[in-house]
Amino acid sequence: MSTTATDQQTAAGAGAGAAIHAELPPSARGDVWRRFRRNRGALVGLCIIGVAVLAAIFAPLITFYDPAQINPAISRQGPSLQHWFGVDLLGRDLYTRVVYGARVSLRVGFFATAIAVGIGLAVGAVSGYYQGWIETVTMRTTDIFLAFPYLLFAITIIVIVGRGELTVVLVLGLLGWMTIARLFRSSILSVKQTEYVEAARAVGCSDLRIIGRHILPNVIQPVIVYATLFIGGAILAEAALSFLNVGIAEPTPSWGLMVAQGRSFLFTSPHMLFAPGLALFLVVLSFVFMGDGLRDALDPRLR
Amino acid sequence: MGGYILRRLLHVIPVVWGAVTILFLLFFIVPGDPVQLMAGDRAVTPEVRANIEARFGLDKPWYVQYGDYLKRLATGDLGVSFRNNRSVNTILGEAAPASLRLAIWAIIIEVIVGISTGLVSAVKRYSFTDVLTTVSTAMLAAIPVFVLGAALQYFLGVYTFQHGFPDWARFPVQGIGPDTWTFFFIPTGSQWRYLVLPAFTLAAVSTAVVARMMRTTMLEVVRADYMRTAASKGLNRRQVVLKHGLKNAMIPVVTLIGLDLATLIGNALITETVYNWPGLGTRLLGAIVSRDAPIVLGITAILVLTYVLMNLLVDLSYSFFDPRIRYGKEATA
Amino acid sequence: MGQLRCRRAGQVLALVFVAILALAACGGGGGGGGGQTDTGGEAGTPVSGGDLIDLQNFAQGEPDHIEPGLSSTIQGSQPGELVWDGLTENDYKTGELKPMVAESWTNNPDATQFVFKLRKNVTWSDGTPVLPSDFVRGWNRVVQKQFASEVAYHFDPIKGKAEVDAGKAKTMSGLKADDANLTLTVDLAYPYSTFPTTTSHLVFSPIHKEVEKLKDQTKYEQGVMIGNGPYKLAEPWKHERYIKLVRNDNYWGGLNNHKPYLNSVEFRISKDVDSAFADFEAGTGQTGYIPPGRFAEVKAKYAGRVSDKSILGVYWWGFNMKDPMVGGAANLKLRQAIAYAIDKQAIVNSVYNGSRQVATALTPPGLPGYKEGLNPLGGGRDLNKAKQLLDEWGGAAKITKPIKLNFGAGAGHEPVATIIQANLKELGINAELAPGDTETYFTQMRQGKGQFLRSGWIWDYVSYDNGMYPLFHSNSIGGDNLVQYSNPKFDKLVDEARAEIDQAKANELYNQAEQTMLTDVAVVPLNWYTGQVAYSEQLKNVIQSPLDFFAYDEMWLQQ
Repeated sequence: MSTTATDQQTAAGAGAGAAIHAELPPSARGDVWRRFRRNRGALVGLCIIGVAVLAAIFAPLITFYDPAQINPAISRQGPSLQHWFGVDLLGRDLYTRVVYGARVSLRVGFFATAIAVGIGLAVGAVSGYYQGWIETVTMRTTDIFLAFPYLLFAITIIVIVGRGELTVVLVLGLLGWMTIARLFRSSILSVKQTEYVEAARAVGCSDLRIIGRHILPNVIQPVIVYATLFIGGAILAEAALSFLNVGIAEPTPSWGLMVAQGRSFLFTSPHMLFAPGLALFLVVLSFVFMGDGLRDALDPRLR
Repeated sequence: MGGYILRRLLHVIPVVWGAVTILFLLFFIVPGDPVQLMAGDRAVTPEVRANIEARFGLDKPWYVQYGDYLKRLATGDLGVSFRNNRSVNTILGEAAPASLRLAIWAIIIEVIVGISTGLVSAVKRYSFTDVLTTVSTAMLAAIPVFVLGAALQYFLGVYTFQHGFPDWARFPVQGIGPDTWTFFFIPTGSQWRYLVLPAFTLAAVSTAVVARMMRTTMLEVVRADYMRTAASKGLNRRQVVLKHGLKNAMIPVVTLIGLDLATLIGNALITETVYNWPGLGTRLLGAIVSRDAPIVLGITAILVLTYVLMNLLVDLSYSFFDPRIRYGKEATA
Repeated sequence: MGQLRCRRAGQVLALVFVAILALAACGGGGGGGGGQTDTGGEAGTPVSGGDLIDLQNFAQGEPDHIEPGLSSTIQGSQPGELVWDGLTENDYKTGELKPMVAESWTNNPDATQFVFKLRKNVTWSDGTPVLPSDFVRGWNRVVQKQFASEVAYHFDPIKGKAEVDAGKAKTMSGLKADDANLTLTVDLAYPYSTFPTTTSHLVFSPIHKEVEKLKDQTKYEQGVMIGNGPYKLAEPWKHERYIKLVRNDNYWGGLNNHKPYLNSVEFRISKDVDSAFADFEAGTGQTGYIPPGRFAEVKAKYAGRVSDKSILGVYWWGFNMKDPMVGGAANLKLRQAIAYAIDKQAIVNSVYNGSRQVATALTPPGLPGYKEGLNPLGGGRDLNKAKQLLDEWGGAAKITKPIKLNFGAGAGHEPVATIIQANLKELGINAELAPGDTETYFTQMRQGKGQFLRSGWIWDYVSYDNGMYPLFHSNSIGGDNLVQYSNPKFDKLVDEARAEIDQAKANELYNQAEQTMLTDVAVVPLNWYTGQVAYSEQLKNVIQSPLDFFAYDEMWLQQ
């Protein structure tokens, strides 16, 4: 009824016309990859993220200092031969901290997104597939969470529960599932009535099977695109939280925290902001480009 | 249509109630101590503690406090701040207009700049303009708001002052200035100078997102059959794009603007802190950190209400953009 | 084809972005009228007129309260210091106690009664005379139960306060006002010779009888309060924006017998320290609070226009004296070793950017009674001595679990704790950072749950007692005596000092008490606070008090 109209627009809003997709067979994987490769921006993005992941994994091998090792005597010195990116307030090597920071930022990004996607798919599936009071309750709950000013909620929870990586990941994930749920739900609604789903039901497939094997592959595209963008968003959100002093705490080297601290010294020791800032910027940018590339690659109509 | 609106308005109640309850539980389930926070480093003697708790009803069990709060909320009374006993309604009255004005301008910028650049870059796909827009919007979306703010403050505020730039090139670094407005949101006198930096900083990320979304949906629309039909009818490019394409592309964009409001509010918090804009954001941050529950609950209730109403407006606007969509009795299942 | 353009455009934009950042790096050193040899202290004859915009006092946010009965922070009390004059005042330059509204006072031999004689010519800003009953009204007002004031503890020495606290009385019986003879008699609950010094605190201000019309006393500070000081409120407190004061034309003249020079002082309220200072650098105001990380650079750039006098505040880490691992007489040598191992200079240089002074004792210089060399350990770093003492104590192996470094999270103490951790590592001692939730941190420390804990102290008044009694007397355990220090010798010295009328003798006793505490190594004082304010060329005669107040009534703006 009226809510259907809203949700159909939401689906369209992700630029993914799910209803139309249901009429096409799922794209062959090789096809998608070839289209993706043609988008130079997305490819560059993928490379940068690849580098970041590798750096995170092999961090001890490519750095020469302990990220927690302090040296107050050379506090805030700029880039030099011994310290490629310079040092921070306590004299810790910034190159080392930026490399280790990749671990933290990528972890936060991936896990927060994983949580958001997990919850989002579950809630979206339930509210899209089942009618009646289940649908109403889940929709109202989604509305409540959506209406919450996200940053405010995040800050409140963290202030109350305590700072730390786990809290930040949980909070970002718990506040990001709503859009995915809505997207997924709209897609399901559009697809539910199609012939192959009816056929599956006629044959006797269980609900879960129908959702998992027949609906999901057709409607996963907008979720994939959104999730990719969400990773970048989560990494940025962690930076914002650190700026407001409720993010990841010292002495963990997180890019967000380093950028927030570096901001105070923007004009006196710019390297403190520049190194982690550039890393943050490039990685988030990469996710943005990758999201673009995925969207174009997964939607044959745009080619 | 009227019935639809009424029904949607009724939905507001459980949403606001749900949000307030969740927060309330957060504050009371986890042990906290606003009294000690108020005192800072110093010891709080038992007498003082007892006095403060008695005044704010903090010594009652949490469900009693919850009940009291809901009762007051129903009458519109948001309670008093733990820190200085001022009525939350008064505090909100002071702070809300400033935030509202900033938000309105950010949305105006977001809509105008975002939609037009998205439109242009979609229509002239792969041209230099398109590439410039795509890359710059991507970059804007990747810069943390507080870094952008700090950079603008420095280059347009401090640097221009210290190197003797002419008056028109210098912007205030922080503050709301004279706080003079007409028609609620039009700045008068020198007010606009104080508005520029915060509004653009706040709008930056959202503008980038809107522009990108506009481009994407416009590209989709441009390839649609009805566009080819319109072109083959002999309409010129501009008419085709504006009359037929734009309206259809607007729906997802308008949706996005509505959904983006939550992000806007979050970024407003940061922008207001950096630029010292005395709005809800700055009050909120101080209140959260001091566990001043009444203010946090009050501001949250207002923000939630605003968000829900905004989305109602967004949904209603669909019928303007897409005549196929009707609400209420005429709706198709 | 399009993709190629995309990449090139992207590269161009990236280059532009890099260029902008590089410009920022160079532009950061750009000058703005620096390096005058003007000391700002003396500079010609005062000029009447001008409006001051102050960006330093509230650079870190809005205070909770500003009125005498409720304000508990220095920044919150600054406007009040200009709006009310109390019985006494501490000279901003020397710290010496001067008579203010009281022209003289006498005391009885055992320091349990003080009689203040008020001046005849002091008036409120509305012209009515200031009487002893105004003081009694103000003081009684603060201790009322429903007022729930956090600063009522200042009145503890006064007889009758305990009864008010217990709900048995409405006013303090120890206060007697004789308006006809302009005398105020104060009876104390115990001997306390520095009582007159405490009356210089804002909380002891007189309050105008207009306050009796109010039903809810907490609303007083939301309106225009009448005071007897050099300035008066121009308009009610504009929350989150500013507090504006204008010259009080009915001012009695003060100690230097002149009305203030500046027409008005507007205290702007900021939210973010960096933005507030940027605003000062952009010329919006004449004073600015220097952000912690920029102290050295600003001091160089604004040479001669930085107020960095010593403030009566100390930053220390202390041992929980009841802890079996670090406390008590048995572990004295361990504490000494740790005290010698901490690199205070490195902390001051890196974390505080030079804006603090390394502390060799607890009480800072600038406090009357300060004596050098009280600390038997000297106060500096000596790694060899540290190692030696550690071995004498039993060696690092004797420490079974890592020592906990307790501090409140999110308040900027992590870097300090990190440095201390590294310092201890050099001795072979393992320490772990134990940040506590800011809300519950002090409560937990009070309950004795810490081991090596961070705290600080800002003096309430310019009195030696204020740093000794609340922090280290055994009566203060459970209060501000976070280190659970209990030494009968210390207690006796302080009690005697409190009863000693002769201030010079009293200070000697306090010296001995402090030495006792430092010999026991109950705390390791790390640094003393200093001022962190920069001001513009036009502002003259900037005087900062030991309590970090500024004498706005002595400043003027050169036109």
